[in-house]
Amino acid sequence: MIIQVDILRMIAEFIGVVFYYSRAVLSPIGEVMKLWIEFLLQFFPHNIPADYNFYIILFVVLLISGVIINYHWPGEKKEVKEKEKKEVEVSAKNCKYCGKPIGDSEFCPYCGSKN
Amino acid sequence: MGGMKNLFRGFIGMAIYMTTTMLIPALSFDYVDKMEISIPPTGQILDIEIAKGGIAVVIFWLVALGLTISGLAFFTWSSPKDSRRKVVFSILLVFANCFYLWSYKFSGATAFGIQIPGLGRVTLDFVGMVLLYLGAYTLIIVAKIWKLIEVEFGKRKEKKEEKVFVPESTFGKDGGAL
Repeated sequence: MIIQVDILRMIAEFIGVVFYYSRAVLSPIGEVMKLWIEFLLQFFPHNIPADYNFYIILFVVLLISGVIINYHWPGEKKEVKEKEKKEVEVSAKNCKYCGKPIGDSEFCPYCGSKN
Repeated sequence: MGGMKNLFRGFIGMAIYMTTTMLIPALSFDYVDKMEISIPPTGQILDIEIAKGGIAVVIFWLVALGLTISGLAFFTWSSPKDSRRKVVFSILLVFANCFYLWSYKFSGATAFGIQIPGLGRVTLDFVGMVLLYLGAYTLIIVAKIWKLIEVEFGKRKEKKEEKVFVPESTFGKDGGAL
């Protein structure tokens, strides 16, 4: 139990030190961020009590568009291309007799021997 | 098949963000608002005040921006790895997170007032911490923009390599050189 408390205290102190020293750099950047966030928030609908319509519509639109886009473009194109490339590489063989490349043909175009 | 895998990943991401941005904070604020701590021996109640009593405003912004973040998280997590749309939506997700974080400030959730009977009042303001996080988010945005540039260059390189690569055989099926 005492060890656990010590570990927790160490973690808390470590986080405290990180926050303390990064404050000088990060807080002014945060102040700049605050400016544009406050400007943009004026345009957000915020009728209280609870008018969630805009946010629910936004959520549903993102969800449906995500499903549709992933259905049409699942991102497998690259893998298929790599497979095709490998198949072509395997089929590009050399002649057994003269060692020159013959592609996927049965006869060597250089020595005429059957492979 | 890959599409289904992506969607599954998207739903996991959405569930994580819904839990961490809406469910846990809303329940925590609700719990703290209703919490009653009695001080012995008199049994007086320690009053913890959040958002100057306007907890509905805090919950509204948590749910509203939490929904937006969850939608963006679904889109981001369901996008294929190293794709442009994943990086673009992850940048939008960080921006939405900035709004979400700042909503704690303007809804008053960063200011806690505790009335201690017989001693006085203690006020805790966490706005400095929010600013610190906003600064950290700015660095994340910069890193994400760098990632977007990296992905864009990667795609261009890939296209160039595709143009150089000749998949067709140099020779005909019958053995004659083309």
